[in-house]
Amino acid sequence: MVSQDFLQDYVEEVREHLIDMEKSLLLLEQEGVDQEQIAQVFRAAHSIKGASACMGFEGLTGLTHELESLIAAVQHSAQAVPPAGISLLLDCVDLISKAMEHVKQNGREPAIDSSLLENLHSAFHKEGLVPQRARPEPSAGTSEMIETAPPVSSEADDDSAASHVDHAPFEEEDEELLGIFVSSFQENMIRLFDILTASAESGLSDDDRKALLELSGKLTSSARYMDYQPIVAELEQWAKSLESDEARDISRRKAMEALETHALSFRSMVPQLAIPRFVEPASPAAPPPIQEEDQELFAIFLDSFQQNLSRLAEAISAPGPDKVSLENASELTESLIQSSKYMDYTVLVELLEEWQGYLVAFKDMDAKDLGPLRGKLSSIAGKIKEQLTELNLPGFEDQRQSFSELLDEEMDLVFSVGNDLAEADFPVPAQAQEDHRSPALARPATDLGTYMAKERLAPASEETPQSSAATLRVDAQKVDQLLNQVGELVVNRSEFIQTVTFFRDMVRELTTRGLLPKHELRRLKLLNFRMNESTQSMGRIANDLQASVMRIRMLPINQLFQRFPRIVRDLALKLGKHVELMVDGGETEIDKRVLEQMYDPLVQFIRNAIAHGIESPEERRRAGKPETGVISLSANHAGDYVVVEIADDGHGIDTRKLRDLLLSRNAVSRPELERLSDEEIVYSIFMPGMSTYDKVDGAAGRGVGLDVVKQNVEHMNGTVEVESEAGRGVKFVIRIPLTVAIIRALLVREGDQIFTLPLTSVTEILRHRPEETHSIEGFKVITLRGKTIPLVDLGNLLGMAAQQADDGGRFVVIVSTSFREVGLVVDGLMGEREVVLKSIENNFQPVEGFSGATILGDGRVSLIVDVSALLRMRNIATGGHMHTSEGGQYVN
Amino acid sequence: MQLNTLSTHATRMREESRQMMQLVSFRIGHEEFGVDILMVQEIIRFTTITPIPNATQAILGMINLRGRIIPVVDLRWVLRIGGGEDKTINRNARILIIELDTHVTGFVVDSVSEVMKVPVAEIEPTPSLVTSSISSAYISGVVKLTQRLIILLDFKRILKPREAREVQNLGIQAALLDHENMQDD
Repeated sequence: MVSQDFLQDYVEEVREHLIDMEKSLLLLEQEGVDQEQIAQVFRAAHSIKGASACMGFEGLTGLTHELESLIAAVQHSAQAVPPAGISLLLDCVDLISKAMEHVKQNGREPAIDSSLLENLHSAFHKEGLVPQRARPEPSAGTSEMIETAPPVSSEADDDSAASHVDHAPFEEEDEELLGIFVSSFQENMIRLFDILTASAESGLSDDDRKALLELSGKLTSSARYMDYQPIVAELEQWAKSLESDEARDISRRKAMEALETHALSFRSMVPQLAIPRFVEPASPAAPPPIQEEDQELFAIFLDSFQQNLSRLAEAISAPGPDKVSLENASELTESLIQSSKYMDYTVLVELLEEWQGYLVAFKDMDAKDLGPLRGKLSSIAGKIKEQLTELNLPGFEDQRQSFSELLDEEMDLVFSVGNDLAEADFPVPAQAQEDHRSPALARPATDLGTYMAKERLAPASEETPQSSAATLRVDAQKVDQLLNQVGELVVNRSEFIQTVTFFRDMVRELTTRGLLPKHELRRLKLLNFRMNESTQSMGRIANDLQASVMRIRMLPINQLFQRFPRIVRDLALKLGKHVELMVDGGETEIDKRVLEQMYDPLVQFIRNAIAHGIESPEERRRAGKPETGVISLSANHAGDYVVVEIADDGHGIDTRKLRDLLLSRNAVSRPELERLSDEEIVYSIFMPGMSTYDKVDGAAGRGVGLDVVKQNVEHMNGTVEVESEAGRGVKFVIRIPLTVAIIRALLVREGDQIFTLPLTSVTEILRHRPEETHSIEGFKVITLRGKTIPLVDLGNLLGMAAQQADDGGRFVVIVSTSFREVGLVVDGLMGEREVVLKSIENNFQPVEGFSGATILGDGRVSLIVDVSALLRMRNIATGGHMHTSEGGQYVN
Repeated sequence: MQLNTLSTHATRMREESRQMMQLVSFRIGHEEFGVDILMVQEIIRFTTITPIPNATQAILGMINLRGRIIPVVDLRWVLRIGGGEDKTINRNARILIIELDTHVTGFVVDSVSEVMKVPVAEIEPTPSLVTSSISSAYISGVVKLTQRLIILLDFKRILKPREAREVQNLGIQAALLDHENMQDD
């Protein structure tokens, strides 16, 4: 019954609303009474309800409806929501969130547990927030439909969003009232138009304006009575434009246009509000009597006109006003104009030219500002239609008949597109029409507008209100596939470059040998030159393409950050601590896959900070710190990396305890321990089983968290740094490559194979000098600036056949792995480059010790070495001996 | 009525007998094998294989198949067919690219002979007399043609799902032992 596609969209949509809801609830908890946030919660609940009703999920619809009513009650009472109520509301968020999991997996909604709601109800009741049923039960079904018509949501820009603020009440009305409202509204609107029509072309007289204002006042008050805030806002805006001084110069036509667009947007808000088509005053250029035409010519004209028109309809009805189809449409319009000109149909030409003018304006503008133009287009389309049907010719009745039928069809298509577009964009943002309207009209300076603007929390969305409107939800797999193909293209490009180089060398050789006559050689050289040029440009395109595709995958890290306030709140509450989370740099963009993999590590750090870092309020007071601890989370770009910092202002890491622990576990010898600085000791928290916390509880303390986190981060080719200051707090700095798809790598040769080492793990490269290596307990080591670093032969590590005995000419690549640096001895270095990371598609046997593979310029496969994993494998293989030995001596 | 039933029955019989299966036949050593053509994504020439250190002997390594990195399995080794000691690859060698559950794996064979149509009815389910050297676990049937015997391989079983891999590893180890024993003999 429910389509999977819709299901996916539905779940995503609900999740977004849940995130909004949670955010607002948390803000509410902090700030107490905050009407904006309550309104946000209400909207979220309402949107979820609407979406669930659409999907036919009655349980969820019921739940959210109840929720909505409860929130409405709070909204009306203007009281603070009690803390218990917030917790219960958050539980509701969780409940719906769980229900979404269920829906996603089973395609059905789970049974909804209503006990939560009852609790909520009674909690509110206790606080005197007795939910009064403000409005009658919505007549199910039909009322929901209204809402589904234009999918207007947060995606619209600020102005439009303003008009949605109170979208909600629309469905709650009883039909009779709505009927009365609609008919009176229509009546008044028509009278408005009548006055405008009757007024002088040049400008509005004071009497006219007074009458208009009076009427619009009536309209406003009836709209206010119905609680149709957006309509009220628009009407007020219009009235204001009439009142203002500049408006004295407003021509009737402009006031009319403005009203027309308003009328259209009213209609899109309440479909019943379709104002019967108002007619423009008899145009001075009334359709001139069509002269008797050459019949044949007329037939040709009709034919071509109709053809072009149908193509025009096709071009315009394409989804979304993309540049290409608009270009197409304006070309077609041009040919329509030409043929009409040829036929001397001046009225038609005028109308078409007007249409064309708007199309061109359409084209030149950003997709967001098209609202008024669209309304305009549709009205011109109507006029063209009228003109065309008036082309009446003797002897052509039959043909005209069929033509006008066809025409109707096409025009309806064009026309309806105009309408749809107008509806889609409805509340008219005005910049688009600057030359047509007075600035006063153009300014959407309603209270609602500013109200919404304030509510947008993310600064980024204020700067670029357009960016969100054109979002496209695409299956991540499709993007991955695209990325894969682009990766192939990039590899293919380097193959091309190699081929061209090969060709060039060949030509050179031919030249020196002098085997070919000069003119033949020149042709070859020319060919080579051209090949080179086109290869270069292909390379550029491939690079750009790759960059673009990578950008598709980039998401603001806020998507991750916004999940943390809840975690902080819950855990702090549980542990009886006061913690505030400060988030910074949420707009930093990061690859989606990295984003997903970052979640667990970050949660672990945050849990650690709350459980171990931040002290209890009493302790903090004693230490002279504010009772509320602060965890700050920030993100920013640094080159090809995203740096995420998690800092707390707790008591820091107890290094003495760590030293004791290291000793007691025999992990480090006493002299070694004394050599290590506190900064270095801190890193031992990443060792498995290290915990300075005496108690083990649900949050943390088992000492397993951080080593896993470090591994995960390293798996993404990232690094973790930690800084601790006693009494001042701990700061973790995570550096992660922007994308996991492309990494910088060092290519090394071992035997006849080329291996890839992620550059993030490489710290230094040395020439291998066998005479400088020492042997400790059978292990080769070198001393580098006072540090002892074990040497491992890459070939040995990989279990490859024994190398040539000669160690000369080999290299040592110092790689940093978990807790230690290791020198990898390799046969040769093949340079550093960017490689496209690919997973090994292996369903036969798992491949260990490699994090993936990449394809080299010559098409060969090179494995990406996961040094830590390899060492772990070897450690197990050597019975742990190496582990203790290395662990003992080479802890940083 | 009765006649009608009879005739439909006859039609069905005829259709069944006409049901054909398309096979790709290939050789490893002296044996000829076949695989349902629907499982074969493509057949490519032998190409550079990047060996994977520390991997089992069954995996020869990785190849780049138009940007995808896929493992290549030594079918000779898996099937315990002797005579592969000569590691020089002959120029007829091909890699069969088999697709199973969106996973793609390459299998090295000595040569690919032809694509043939075989009536489904002629496939004998029990490999009664197949050479004892081939593990029967991987055989789904045989087709007897004049002068030829084509062994149908069950790649689903060769490419076991992950859960069964442990067991399979044991199997391979056993096979390896057998293989060595065989060579010792």
